Amino acid sequence: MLSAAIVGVVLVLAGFIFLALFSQNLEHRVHEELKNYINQLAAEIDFTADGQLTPPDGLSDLRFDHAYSGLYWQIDDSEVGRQLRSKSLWDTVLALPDDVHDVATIHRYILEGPENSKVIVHERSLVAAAPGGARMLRLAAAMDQSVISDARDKFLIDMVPYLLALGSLLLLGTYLQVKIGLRPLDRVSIALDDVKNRKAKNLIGVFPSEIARLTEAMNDLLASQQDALARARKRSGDLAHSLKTPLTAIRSNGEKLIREGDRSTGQEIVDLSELMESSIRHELLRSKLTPTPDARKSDADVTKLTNAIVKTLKRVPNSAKINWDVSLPDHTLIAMDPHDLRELIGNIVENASKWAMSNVTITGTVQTSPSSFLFTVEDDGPGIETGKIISMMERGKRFDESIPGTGIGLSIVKEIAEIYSIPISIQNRQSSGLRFSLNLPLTEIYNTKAQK
Amino acid sequence: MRILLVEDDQLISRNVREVLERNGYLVEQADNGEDAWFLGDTEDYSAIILDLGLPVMDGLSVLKRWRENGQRVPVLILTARGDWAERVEGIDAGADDYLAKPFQMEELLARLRAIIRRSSGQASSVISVGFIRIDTRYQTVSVNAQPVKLTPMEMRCLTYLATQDGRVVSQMELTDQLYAQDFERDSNSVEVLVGRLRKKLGTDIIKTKRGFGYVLENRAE
Repeated sequence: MLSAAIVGVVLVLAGFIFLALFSQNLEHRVHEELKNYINQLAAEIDFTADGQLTPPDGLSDLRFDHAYSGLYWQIDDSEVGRQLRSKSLWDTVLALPDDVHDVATIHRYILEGPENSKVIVHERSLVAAAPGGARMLRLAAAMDQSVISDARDKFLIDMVPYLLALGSLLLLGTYLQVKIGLRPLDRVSIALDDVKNRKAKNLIGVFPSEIARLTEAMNDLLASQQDALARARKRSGDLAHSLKTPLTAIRSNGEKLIREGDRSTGQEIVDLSELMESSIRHELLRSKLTPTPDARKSDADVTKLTNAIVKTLKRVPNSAKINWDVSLPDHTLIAMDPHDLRELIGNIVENASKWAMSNVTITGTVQTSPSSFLFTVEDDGPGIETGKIISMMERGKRFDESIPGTGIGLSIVKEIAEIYSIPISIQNRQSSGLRFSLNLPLTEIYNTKAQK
Repeated sequence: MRILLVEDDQLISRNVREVLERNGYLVEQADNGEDAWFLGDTEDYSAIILDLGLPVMDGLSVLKRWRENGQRVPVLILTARGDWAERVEGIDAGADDYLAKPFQMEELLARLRAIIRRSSGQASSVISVGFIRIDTRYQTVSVNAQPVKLTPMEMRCLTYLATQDGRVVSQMELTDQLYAQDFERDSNSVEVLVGRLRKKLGTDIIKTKRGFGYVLENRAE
């Protein structure tokens, strides 16, 4: 739209300029022509023996002989009261103004011409050698002004189609230039989308040399980001690992003190080391989470992951007594890193299995407005006081010390939910137990399929 | 109960060993995957505690090889990463339970007891055989509701026999489960031990099958 507007404005301006140039040129030609006729008239000046002016007969333009043709001449011999005019003037007289100007200079003005027309007049005074002595003569040549205006109008009419054609060509050229010229940038955009959607780790493709430096720089940036992320995670993981064993030793020493009778000091050491161990485990788990949704390695099949987690929990003695009811649709892809989704679901499901009396139910349905996957885990345990629901996801929070666990699992759930902006709802069921509901983000592919 | 502890970290293995022995277990150790693989394949253990991060051969590979060879001993894996990927991987490879490091010793003991119980078909930590009640969690025994004091070795012997679900246990097997090193073993050590148990329990619930071994009969849950 902007290109079309600019081209339009430019062409209109160009049209005005061309027209002005044409008019200027034409006017100049008219003036030269009239000046030429004046000079011819001057050259034809002749007198009879008795001192009468003779009509000039050397003017070749036939228009001088046709009435109201648009081209006229007139000679005023005012000293003897005689006037000679071209046939084209017919019964009209050019009322030359009574002004004085230098001899041999051309005087230009517009006068009323035949049939109410306007004529451009060139006038010149000269002193002629008449038989009775020198006489002042006024010579005038005139042309109908419409010669210029008509020609200008015709030029304009002839010019418009060419300007339109030129404008169309310019727009086409601009369009092609943008379309073809910017195609490499389209390829860069597609390559970036592939990186974003985890189909590639860097920009892949053949790019013109003009943007090769740009794509190389972007690939370097992507690589350095991945390296920096990997290094940060490794550092965090290494630090946590290095602290684990010394903490185990500290805790053992605390337990030893308790056994040897120093209960107070021993218990304090044990409590503090448990606190530190909880922080380390939390940080270790956090360090493995994807920092942002876009940085995820791939999408995740929620049904496959859930089934693997339930299979694991069915094997271990702590949750082997549970009746599992899992109802999930096949091949539902969630826009989360599989590691993160596994941690999210694993911790929620494990928590449910710990508190359940005998039943855990897992369901999932695709929601359309807004698009998401509603994932629900319910247990038939004792439920929880409404006032404690918010605090249950704090790190280290355990509401029943007899239920094994470190209180870290649900705090990791909260971390993951924050990274992916997943709304979590925790409610007491009407019968008994707790219901965890999450709206998991569906992948673009799933959204497109749903729209179709 | 004879336990194989596979852990390359000296500090952790020392602490775990102390706790297990205090709770009546006989502990043997390996600090790399290759030794663990050999021991697990050739010796009889009530359970194995297996760290996954081992030198020479990693824990998961060791576990997979045991299962491929038909070794069904209950295995509790110790995971360093603590994430669900490692747990799922471990259970898929054949582990019976998992515990993330760092862990509480009480939880280790509870999970160990649970996998041993399950492998012998028991539903709870309390085993009842006739009038005898054995609480494997608190390491106590009562006969007709009267507590009976047993030494750690006697407790170990009685518990092992009680978890065999009426199966006859040979003297050699019982010796392996109760005694760590050959020099501790005497040809009649087990006989003496069983004799002491019979005296304390006041019943001949431990039967001798001549030529075969010992069995705890009239088992009821």
